[in-house]
Amino acid sequence: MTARTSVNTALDRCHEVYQHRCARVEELKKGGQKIIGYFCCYAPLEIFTAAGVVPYRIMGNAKESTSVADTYLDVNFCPYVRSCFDVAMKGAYNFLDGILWPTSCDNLMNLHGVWDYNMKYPFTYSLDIPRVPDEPAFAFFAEEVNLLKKAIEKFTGSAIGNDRLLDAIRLHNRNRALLRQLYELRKSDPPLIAGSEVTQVLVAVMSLPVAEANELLADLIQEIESRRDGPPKRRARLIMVGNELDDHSFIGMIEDCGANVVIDSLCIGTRFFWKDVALNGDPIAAISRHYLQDILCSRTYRGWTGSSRQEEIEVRFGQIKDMARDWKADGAVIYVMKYCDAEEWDVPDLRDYLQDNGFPVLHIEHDYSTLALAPVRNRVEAFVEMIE
Amino acid sequence: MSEEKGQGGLKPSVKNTKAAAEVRQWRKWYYERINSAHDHGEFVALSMLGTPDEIFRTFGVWSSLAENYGPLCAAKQVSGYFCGVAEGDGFSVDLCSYLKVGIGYLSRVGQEGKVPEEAPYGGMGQIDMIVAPATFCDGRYKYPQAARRYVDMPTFVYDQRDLPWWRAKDPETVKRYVDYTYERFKELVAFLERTTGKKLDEAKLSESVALWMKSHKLFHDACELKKCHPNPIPSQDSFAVCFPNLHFKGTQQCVDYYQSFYDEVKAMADAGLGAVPGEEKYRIFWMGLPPWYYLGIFNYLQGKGVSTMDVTYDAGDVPEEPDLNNPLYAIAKKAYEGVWFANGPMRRQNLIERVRKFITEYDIHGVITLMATTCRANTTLLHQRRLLNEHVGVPVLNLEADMSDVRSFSEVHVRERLDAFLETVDATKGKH
Repeated sequence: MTARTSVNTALDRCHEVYQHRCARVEELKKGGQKIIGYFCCYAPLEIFTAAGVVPYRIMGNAKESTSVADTYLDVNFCPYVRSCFDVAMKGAYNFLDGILWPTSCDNLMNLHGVWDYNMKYPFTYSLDIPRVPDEPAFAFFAEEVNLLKKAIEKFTGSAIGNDRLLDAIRLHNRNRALLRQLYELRKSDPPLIAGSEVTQVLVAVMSLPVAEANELLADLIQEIESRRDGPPKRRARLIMVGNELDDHSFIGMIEDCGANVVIDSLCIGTRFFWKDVALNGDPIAAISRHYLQDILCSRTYRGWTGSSRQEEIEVRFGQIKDMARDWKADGAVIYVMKYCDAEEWDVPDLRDYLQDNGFPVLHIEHDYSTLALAPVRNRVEAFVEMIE
Repeated sequence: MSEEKGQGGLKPSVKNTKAAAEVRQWRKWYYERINSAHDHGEFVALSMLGTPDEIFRTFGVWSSLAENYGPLCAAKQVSGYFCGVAEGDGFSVDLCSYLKVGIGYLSRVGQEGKVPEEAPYGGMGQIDMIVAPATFCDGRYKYPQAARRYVDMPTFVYDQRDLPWWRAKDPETVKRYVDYTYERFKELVAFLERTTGKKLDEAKLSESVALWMKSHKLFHDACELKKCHPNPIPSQDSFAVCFPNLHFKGTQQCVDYYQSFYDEVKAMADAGLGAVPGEEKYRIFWMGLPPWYYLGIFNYLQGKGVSTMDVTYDAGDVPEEPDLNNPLYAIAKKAYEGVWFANGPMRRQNLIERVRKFITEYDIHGVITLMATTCRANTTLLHQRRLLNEHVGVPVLNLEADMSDVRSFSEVHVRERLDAFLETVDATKGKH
């Protein structure tokens, strides 16, 4: 992180939560609070919050070798979920009361069985997520979310009324709005907050109850707006596109190579907060529609019968192009986790689309570990030199 | 017995049954047909396994499957070449090699404006549309998007949900999944009506479903004969005889084929004839995908007295009698009735229970799996080995290679591992 002159700032607090991300929920757990772990952007957090349960995003540890997981998972398993499993097997998530498993991708679905066999929790639930965001799928998914709600009600012994759901939606929408506000502070040149700092903020936000996260974010935004020790202006402004980056080192390395990372389309990034859940109508329907439609992940098929290829491409990647333009990016880094098939399949189309729209692209296929970034650093340095 | 011709250094397989050997002719006829479909007033859909062929058939549409063309190119030793072409276009080396063969092929067609000479059987057909179900694995709905880089045809990708095995116990949940699939099939019909200019002929569809049921029962009954001592259907045959079920589902020819297959293997079983000459020393379960470029591996094992058996592309369970008054619904329903063991929306079922049952019923001495490196649906083999060791106790060998891309395969290394494994099997035989 950029050196800071003051202590006990909101950014310091984010850094603290990032470094010890289980600490707050473990404290809450001791006080009787139920904590449910979840994977992926597709977990409907509002249901947990409405139930009085704290949703806690399960993450890996990019700085630790997956010595235990390697004896359980095949070599061609996603290294991110491999790390999550490894960390869990080593006891880091023993405090969880349960886990929500969205059927987001092959890797998560396959991990589910292995995880369940080896670690038991009082609550485990698989949420089936359609692949195509259309009306029949919205209806199917609404029923899925409703079944999840019932399962949580049974688990907590407390009914979730619409008023509680609406309150939870408001809380999470507030969270999303604050994060978007924070991202606005990256539009200036130089941005007021570095990409590596943002990663830490996002990880912290996903490690706290939403109300606490909102308070922290409000303080942080106020602090960053008047900040004088922000990142320096560097040679290029970049957008990061890809999947799971829950460790600040990777983006930090890119910034060290002479670029400002100013915007992203990442799982630990805009993907989970870019749009709000609607507050009108049935809350379950609104939640379902939001998660299925608004999260821009390659695992959801976007296209419709009769669409031209160009229309389909625009639906898939148009938002990324708009972000790159609005945040005045000079180029894009496509970061794809090895064995993430949904993202890998998109790479040639995404690369071509961004290049056609004037954004040079560096594609990095990576194994999540930040233990040895030197070979990637060389490529990033060359890329920054090329586009500056 | 018949020998399949290969073009590379790996020894091709020798089939045990006439029915398996005959598949070559079926394949030849099928590829000739999809490459001349327009001459017959027919259509070709670039498609994926699991798309209901019975529906296609009523519209005169043939499915062209990368999951079939990939293995075919592997057997002809050209899959590595087409994978390399796809990788040159930016697709990752880790992506499914079946689908990358399809992409590499389409890329070359795009470059040359004609079917490349490396493409076996004259290519993947005269493609008119792209249809795929978003089920079973991530590649199945991403492949159509990637394919459109090269063939921008009318595209229909429909959602079909995998039904987790623990949910399959609840009839209401199963009905919800079936109903959802049924609605998707109606959309598929609408798409086919628009694209082909034809209307759905329900009577023809009913007839097709009825014929499918007949062939399915015959296929199922034939597969059951693997339980016999000796086993008349070794894996090199098993991985061939599924072809008519892939591309001729719902036809009288398909019924006739599986009748003939059943009659042949039943006669062998009754006469005590198996694939292994003399005594079957070991009965080995091949769990999952084979190395398609080297089906001769089963002959190698056979030479060691090993009878291999698998259920990867078997018929699976026999579903309830379909309601022919609503054939579309019947097709949706059977998708959730365990029709196919390793594929389809029932894939993520309680595998260990089924494997345990299989090991008992088929009197298995050991299990071999191929850790197919580019198949993301197939990444829990270490876990399965652990389960087998804990709950069943038979020795398990995990071979690391791809199912279709020969570039990562070492025949010598694999043979050494097989030999060592058989020593273990020999030492543990009869002890579990």
